[in-house]
Amino acid sequence: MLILCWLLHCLLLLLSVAFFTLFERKVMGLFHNRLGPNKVSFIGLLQPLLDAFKLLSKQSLTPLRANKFTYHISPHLALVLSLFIWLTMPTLYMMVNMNYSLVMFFCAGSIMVFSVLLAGWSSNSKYSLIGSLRSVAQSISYESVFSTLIVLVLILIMSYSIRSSFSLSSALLIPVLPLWLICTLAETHRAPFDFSESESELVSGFNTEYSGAYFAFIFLSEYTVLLYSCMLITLLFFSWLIPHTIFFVIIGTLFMSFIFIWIRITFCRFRYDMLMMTSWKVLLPVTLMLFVCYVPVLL
Amino acid sequence: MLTILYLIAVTFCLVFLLKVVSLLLAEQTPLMREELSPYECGFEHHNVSRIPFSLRYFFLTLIFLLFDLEIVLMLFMPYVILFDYFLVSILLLIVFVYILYMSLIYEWSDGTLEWLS
Repeated sequence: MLILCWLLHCLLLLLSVAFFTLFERKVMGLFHNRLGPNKVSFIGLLQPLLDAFKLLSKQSLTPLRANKFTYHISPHLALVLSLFIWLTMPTLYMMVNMNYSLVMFFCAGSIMVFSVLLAGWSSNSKYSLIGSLRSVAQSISYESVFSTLIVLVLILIMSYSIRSSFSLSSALLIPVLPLWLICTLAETHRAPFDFSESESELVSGFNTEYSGAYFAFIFLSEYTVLLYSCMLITLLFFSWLIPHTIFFVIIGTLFMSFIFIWIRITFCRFRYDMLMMTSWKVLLPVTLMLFVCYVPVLL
Repeated sequence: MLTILYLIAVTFCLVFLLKVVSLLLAEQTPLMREELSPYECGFEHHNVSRIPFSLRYFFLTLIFLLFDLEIVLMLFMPYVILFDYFLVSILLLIVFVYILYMSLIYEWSDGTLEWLS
């Protein structure tokens, strides 16, 4: 029963990610004052399913001198981990009762870096190597800020579980929100910080050599993590604002993902060295100072 | 714990199934040698692409390791604060974070954080 439930959850998750790409393209179309995908079926509603079918029906080829094992294992690793992160979601039906869900999220998110590293290294192309090194360095430096923020949040809500943020005291977390948002954008390699695939410099970043199903896996895993972080922001920072039902959590998640798309449309790409320096010289000191100033206030 | 392991196995099976479906769906055409070579524009490159890379990334990883280790040390703080020694633990936490901050300032002044040196 549990396993069936989880399988259904995974499939619906993949479906929702597919429709999230449609949502993104539609919203980007609106911002650009054009229509977005509107040819397939009724106003383009079937577009993501057909996209998925197209990606799966393409021949995927292994480059000649690639490391076969790591080349094949890393997209699987990425997708499995990003689906696995959703296990920490505090839903109503509560498949597994996790008391350490924030720590679990933190661990699984840290392992995600390895899939990028392995994918870039094993595909034996200079573009993917440079792309993977860049995105790993970016993830790592924002992770040091992000984990400090997670510890701060853990101390503020006095628990390791996302569920316990369902109280009025989580309104106290609001000053952490801008920093959290920046770190989430950098960790999921979203638009102002998308250096893993800066199209004009490296061909497609670390997934240059991937095609067909493997490309779909990497793409799906990125968007799954993005949706999860939208939900996490909703649960941690806005749970005092909304009624505690799954419906409102989903509405909040959709609104957060809309904000992420809005950010993607509005800002242009950062410069790489400035990005790294922002992480180490601005965000990390600010986070530590926030820690020192904010924890005693709670007393 | 065991259920979580089961669920990971199920997720892996699902992803593997997707890959098998794609193998069945995919059109099989004989491959050309150019398709299998690494992506390049207009020429064929012969040597291995695993080149030695900038040391900057390595230093950055080292600093990250140190910081992450200290953050892992702080991870058990909610327990300590929750159960007893409220004031003492808060004070110790603040001292700890302050030391972390000073070490960051030291790294900064030492020039390890500079991207262009």
